[in-house]
Amino acid sequence: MTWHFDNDRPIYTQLLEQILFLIISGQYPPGSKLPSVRELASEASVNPNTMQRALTELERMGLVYSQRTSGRFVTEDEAMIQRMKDSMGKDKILALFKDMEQLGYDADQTMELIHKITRR
Amino acid sequence: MLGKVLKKDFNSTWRFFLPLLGGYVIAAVVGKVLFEILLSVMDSSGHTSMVSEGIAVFSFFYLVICVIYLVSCYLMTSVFVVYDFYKSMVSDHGYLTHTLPVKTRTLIWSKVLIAVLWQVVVNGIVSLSVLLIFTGHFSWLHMDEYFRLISTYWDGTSTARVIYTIINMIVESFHRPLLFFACIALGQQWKEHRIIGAILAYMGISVASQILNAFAIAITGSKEYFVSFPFSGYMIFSMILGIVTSAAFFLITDYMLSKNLNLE
Amino acid sequence: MNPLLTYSNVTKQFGSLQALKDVSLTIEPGHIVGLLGPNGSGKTTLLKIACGLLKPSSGTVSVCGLPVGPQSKLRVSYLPDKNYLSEWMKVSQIIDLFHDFYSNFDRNKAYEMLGRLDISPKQKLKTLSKGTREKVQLILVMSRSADLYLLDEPIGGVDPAARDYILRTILTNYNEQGSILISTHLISDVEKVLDQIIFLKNGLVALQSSVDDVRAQYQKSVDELFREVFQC
Repeated sequence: MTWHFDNDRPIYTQLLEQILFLIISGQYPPGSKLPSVRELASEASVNPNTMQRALTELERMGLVYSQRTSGRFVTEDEAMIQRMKDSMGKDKILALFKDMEQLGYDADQTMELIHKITRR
Repeated sequence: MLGKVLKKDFNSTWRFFLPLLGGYVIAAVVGKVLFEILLSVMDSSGHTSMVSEGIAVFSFFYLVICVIYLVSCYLMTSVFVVYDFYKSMVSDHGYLTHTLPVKTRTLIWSKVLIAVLWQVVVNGIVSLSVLLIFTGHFSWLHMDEYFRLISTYWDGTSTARVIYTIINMIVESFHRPLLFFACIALGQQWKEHRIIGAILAYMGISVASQILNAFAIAITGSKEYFVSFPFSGYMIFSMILGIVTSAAFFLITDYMLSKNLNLE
Repeated sequence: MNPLLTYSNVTKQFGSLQALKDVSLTIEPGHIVGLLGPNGSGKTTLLKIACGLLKPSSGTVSVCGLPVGPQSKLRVSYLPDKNYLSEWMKVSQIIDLFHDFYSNFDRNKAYEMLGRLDISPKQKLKTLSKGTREKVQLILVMSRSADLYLLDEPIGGVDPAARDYILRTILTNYNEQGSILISTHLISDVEKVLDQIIFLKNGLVALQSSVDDVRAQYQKSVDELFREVFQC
């Protein structure tokens, strides 16, 4: 995957989101081992300290856990991953509604359009 | 560390000296051949021909050029020593030289020793070439006579003088490069025109040493080298002066390049 | 942890020009720090003082707790913005030279990187292009396991593809107890790699901060902030 960063936000929050996406989308399945900080930093071409900060934050959120000797792992709590997934899905839908509103659709019109497209 | 610096400095100087001295050796060998032809032409002077005269004139001029080459060998030795020091100590290459984990003193010692080495090599090769020219033109039998003659008149004074001359040569071979190094190190203090700064430093030091010399002659009262017994006061003074100024040049160079380095 | 590099009230005067004005800075271990500022702001002067190529007019500098000298030079790996290698030398000879003088130089690492960048060790420096020479110098510098790397414009003269490789090399090769100080004006290229930045303006430290603090505080990248601070 390619890593992409916006200019107006801290890099570590963007790293966090992108790793979160990798976990939710199943590219890092529950219970699997994450690459080392150095490997991840090198892959994303970012400073290792910044990557460390993103991972620490994910750890604090409970999505990854570290074992002193063997490294970092994705949580085995699939319910939690599902919750994250739902939350991210919700965010995306809210964003969609917001965009549609700017185009001049209210919520019902948007839903109508969605039905029209998906029924096809 | 000195060994490593010597290796580095030797590697960067032999490239200059090899062609210079290689050329000189070849010129000397050719000179020897021409010298022999010249002699044989002169021996058979009974019947001179245009050809033999031509060879004689050519050989003569060739030998003159050889002598010029010989002198320029000495000159170029100094030029190369100065160039190498300038390049590696105060030009862009100084960025590498002065970030090596080596004391400045060690860097300077290496430059001095390499300069002395090349002076010795040049002297050796030049002496050998002179010997080569005369080989075959004096018999070893007569050499014995010469030695006997010399040993008859040889005394303590002669030994002392030979030792003096040798020490003087050694002092001189340290003194000359150190003088150049100190001038370059001093010139480096100028913000711009660093080469002009070095030349000014050289002129300043030359004038100072001339004055000291005149002073020494006035005090010791004699400049005559071979007259007084065993040494004139002047001879002793000039040697001490050589040693003291060499040490001073070393200290100046070390101070300027370690405490006052300003590479731009 | 003891700081790796400390400047205390460092001033540098060149004739009537004051290149650094009473600069005090510390660099802690384990960081990649961007030294950012327009031309003539004193970046190069600051770096050269730390490796002993310039003497400060006043103030002191210590590297790993040592005064600048032969011991500190062994622990600092410096990439100048000048071509400091002898033209007549072959790449392999220069590697031997570094191997001779720096006990922390890893010859195999250097050959590996040369291979990756398609540079033949048998070539003489004078036959290499300007960009390739810069790559060789960077390879030499990064093949040392030093405590402090001082890189003056490391990506200035190389093409974007090589730039990425070089930045990755910097990221993967430095030792984690060490720090890297990178001076550059190509901020957008290196921003992700940095975690701290120092803005230098007319010989003064205008800002020392972490990259993400800048982004959080100003809602803009370091590159954008730089353009604003140093607007002409």
